[in-house]
Amino acid sequence: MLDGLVLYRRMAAASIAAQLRYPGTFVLQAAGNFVTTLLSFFGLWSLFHRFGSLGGWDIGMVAVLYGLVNVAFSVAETLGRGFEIFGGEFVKTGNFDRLLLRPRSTLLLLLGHELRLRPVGRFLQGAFVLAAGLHLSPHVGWATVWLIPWAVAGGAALFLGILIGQAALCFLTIEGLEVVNILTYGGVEAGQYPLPMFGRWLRRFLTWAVPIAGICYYPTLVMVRHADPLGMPMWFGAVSPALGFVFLGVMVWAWGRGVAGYVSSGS
Amino acid sequence: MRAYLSAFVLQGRIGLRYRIAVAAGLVAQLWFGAITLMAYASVYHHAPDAHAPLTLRQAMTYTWLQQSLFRLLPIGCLPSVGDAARTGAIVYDLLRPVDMWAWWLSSSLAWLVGAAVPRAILLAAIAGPLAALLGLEAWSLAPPVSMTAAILALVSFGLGALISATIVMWWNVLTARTLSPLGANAIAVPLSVLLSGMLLPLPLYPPWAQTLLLLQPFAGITDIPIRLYLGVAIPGGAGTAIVIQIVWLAVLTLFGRAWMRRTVDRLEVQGA
Amino acid sequence: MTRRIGNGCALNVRGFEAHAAVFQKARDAAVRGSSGMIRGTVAIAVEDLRKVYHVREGGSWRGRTREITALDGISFSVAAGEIAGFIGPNGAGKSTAIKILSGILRPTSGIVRVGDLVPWQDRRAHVARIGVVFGQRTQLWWDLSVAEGLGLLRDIYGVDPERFARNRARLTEALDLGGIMDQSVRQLSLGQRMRAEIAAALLHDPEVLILDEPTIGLDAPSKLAVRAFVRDLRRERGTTVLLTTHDMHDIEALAERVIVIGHGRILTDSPFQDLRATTLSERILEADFVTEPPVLDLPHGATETMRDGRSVTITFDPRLVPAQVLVAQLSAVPGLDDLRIGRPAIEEIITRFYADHAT
Repeated sequence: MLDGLVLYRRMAAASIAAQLRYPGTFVLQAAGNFVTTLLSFFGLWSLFHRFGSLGGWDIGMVAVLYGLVNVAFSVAETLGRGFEIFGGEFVKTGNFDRLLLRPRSTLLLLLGHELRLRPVGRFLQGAFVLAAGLHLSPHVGWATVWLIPWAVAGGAALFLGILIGQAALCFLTIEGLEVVNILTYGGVEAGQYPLPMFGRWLRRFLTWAVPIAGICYYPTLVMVRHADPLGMPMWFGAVSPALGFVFLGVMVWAWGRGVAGYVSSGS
Repeated sequence: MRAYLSAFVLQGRIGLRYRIAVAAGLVAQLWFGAITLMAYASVYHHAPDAHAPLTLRQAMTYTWLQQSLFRLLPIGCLPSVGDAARTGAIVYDLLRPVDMWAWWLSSSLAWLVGAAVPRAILLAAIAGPLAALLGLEAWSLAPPVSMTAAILALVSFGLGALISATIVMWWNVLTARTLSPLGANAIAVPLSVLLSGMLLPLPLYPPWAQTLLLLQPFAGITDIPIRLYLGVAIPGGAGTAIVIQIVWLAVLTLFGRAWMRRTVDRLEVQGA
Repeated sequence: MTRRIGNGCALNVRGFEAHAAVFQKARDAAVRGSSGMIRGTVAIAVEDLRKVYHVREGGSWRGRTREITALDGISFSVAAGEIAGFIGPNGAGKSTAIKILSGILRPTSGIVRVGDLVPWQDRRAHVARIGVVFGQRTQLWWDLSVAEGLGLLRDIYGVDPERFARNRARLTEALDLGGIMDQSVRQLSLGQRMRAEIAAALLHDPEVLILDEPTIGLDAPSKLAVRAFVRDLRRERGTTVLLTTHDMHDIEALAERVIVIGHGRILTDSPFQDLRATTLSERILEADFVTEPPVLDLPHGATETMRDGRSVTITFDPRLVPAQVLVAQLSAVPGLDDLRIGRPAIEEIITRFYADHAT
C-alpha cells in the first residue's frame, strides 16, 4: 500500500514533468479550461439576472452546487485521465498488454499514467464560485464547512468511478463511447441545478443510480440549512457523499471483471 | 474545381462511417437537451412576469435546434490538419500547387456538414414529430412559424455553415502557424459554445449585451438562423440578419486568406 | 515452365524428426531431474497448450461466432540458461504462445510453468520475474528521457536502489547508452530505442527474457550489437532467453535450440546444430544463360528446383557436392552467362516444412 503510494508519486511527478515540457501549450489549455467553466457560470448567472431566481432557488445555493460539482469533477479529471483515454490509447493499440507485463495493479498503473494539470482551471473557478456561494448564503456556519472536503471526496470518487466504468466498457466496445459523456459532462451539467427542478425519473436516477445528487445537492442543503422540498431528512446530506464511494466500488469491481475477460479472450 | 469536390466527397464519407458514434452522440444530445429543458421550464414557471424575449416554447425549440446542430459549431481545427501539424507533414500540405484555402475550406465544410446533417435530421425527427406523437408536445421542437420563415432560415443555415467552415479555417491557419492543434482547440471550444448560443440562447443574456452578441461572427452560425426560424424579431428585420452573415463571411475570408498567405510565406522562408 | 522437385527436402525433414525424437527423450529426462545431461533445471515447461479464440463474424451484434484454434496442443520445455528460438510464419500461433507465457493471456487448456509459477494465475509475481521486449512496441515513455523512464521502472518493479545503480551502470556500458540517457525516447533512432528497451527489460534481473522480434527494422550494426549483448547476457548471468524472429541470422547467432511452430502445432524442436547440419546447410545456385538453358546433368546431392525463362535454380548440399565442383561443371555448359550462390530464406525453409506437415 505504502509502496504503491510512493510509486504513484513518482509516476505523477514524471507525468507533470512531461506536461511542463511544453509550458506554452499547458498555459493555453489551462486558460481555455478556466474560461470554458467561467462562461458556463456566466450562463447560469444570466438566467438569474433575467428571471430573478432559478426555479425558486437563490444564487447562493446554486453557486454552492455549481462549485461543489465542478471542484469534484476537476479532481477526478486530474486523476483519471488514463481511464478517459483507455480505449483509444490502450485497448485499440494493444498497449494494454504492456501494462499487464508490469508487476503492479492495473488500476494503479492507469492512475499513474497521467496526472493531468489542465483541469486546474476548472478547479480554481469552481472553488471561487463555491466560496462566493457560501459567502452569499445567510445560514452557513463553520459547523457545516467540514462537509466540503467530504462532499468533494465523494464527488471525486463518483466521477472517477464513471471514468473507470467507461474504461471497463472499452473492453467490450474498443472505443470509448461518447454516451459516457452523459455521465461526466452531463453529470456536471445536471449537478449544478437544484434537484427538484427535474422530473421524477431523472431525480431517482441522479440519487440512486449515478448518485450525483448525493455528492452535491443533499450536502448543499445541509450547508445552507435549507429543508428539502421533496422531504428527504436533513441528515441524509451528511452521509450521502458515501454513495460516491459505493459507486466507485461497483465500478472497480466491473473493471476487475473487464480485465479478467480481456486476459481470457485475448482480444 | 474537381479537386475541391473530391476533398468534399472524401471527408463526407469519413463522417458517415461512424454510425455508432452518431447513435451515441444522439443519446448524449437528447440527455443534455432534456436537462436544459427541465431547468428552463422550472425557471419560467417560477417567474411568470419576467417578460423574457423568448417564450418557454421558443426557448425549448431554440435548445433543440442548438443541440441538433451541435456539430456545426467550429469547435476545433480540421482533424487531418491537426494530425499533419503534429507530424510535420503540414509543410507539404501548405506548399501544394492548389489554392490551399479553397482545398481546406471544402474539407472543413464537409467535415462540419457531414457530421452535423445526419445528426440534425435524426435528433430533429425525435425531438419534433416523435416527441409530439408520444404526448410530449409541450416539450417538443416546434415547426417554423411560417413558410417564409422556413425558407429564410434554410438560406441562413446555409450561410451559417459557410461561416462556421471559415472560422474552422482560422483554426487551421493558427494550427499551421503554431504547429500544434492544441492551442486552436483550447480557444475554439469556449468561444463557439458561448457565442453561438449553445450554452444559453443569445436572446436570454442581459439586455446590455444584446447588440454585441448579435454583431459577432458566431451568432451567424446558428443563432441568427434559429431566430429566423422562430420568427423572433431582429433589429432591422430578416434582411439585416442575412446581411450580417454575408458581411462576416466576406470579412473572415478576406483577412483569413491574407493571414494564410503570410503563414505560407513564413514557412517557405523557414522551411519548417 | 516451372518444375519443382522436393525429394531432397523430404529427406531432410525425416532426418529432423529422428533427431527431434532423441532429443525430446533426453530433455524429458532432464525435466524429471534423473539426468544432468543438458542442464540442471527447467525454466519454462509447456504441456499440451491449447488456445481457441472465439471470433465474431459479420455485424457487431447479430454475427455468429467462429472458433479459431491458435494453439493446438503444443508441448516443449526450455532449460534454465538456454537460448531457444521460436520461429514460424505470421499467424502460426507464435504470438499467442508468447502472450500466454508472458501472463497476459489465459489459455483454453494446458499446463504452463515458468519457474514455479503459472503465468496467468499469479500475474504480478510472474511478470516481476520475467523481462519482455516487443520489437514494435515501447515500454518506455515517449515524453520522458531514457534515464527518467528507467527510474520509473525501478519503482514499478521495486528494485532496491543499490541493485538499480549497479544494473544501470552495467547495462549502460554493455548497451552503450551513455550518450542517450538524457534524450527523450521520442527522439531516439530505432536502434537506440531498442537498446534502451532491452536495458528496461533487464533492470530487475529477470530469470527469463522474452524477445519478440528484437531486431526488426534495425540497421546492421544495431542488430550485431543486440545479438552480442544477448549472447553475453546468457553467458555471464545464465538468463534463459526465448526469442522469436523472422531473421535467420538472429537464430544462427544466438539460438541453441529451434522450435518451429506452424498451424498451432510444433513442427520440429531440435538443437540448432541439427538444423544447421540439414536444412540450413542447403545452398542455392542460380545460373543465367544467354539462351534457353539446356537440360542439365546434375551430380548426386544437387537438384534443379526451378526453371524460369533463361535462368535455372539449383538446390544443393555442399557436403555431397562442394560448390566449386558444381560451379566447375556448370561453367562447362555452353551459353552460361552468370552464377550466383546463396542460402534459402527462413520463410522458404518453413514453407517446405509446411508442405510436408500440412496434411
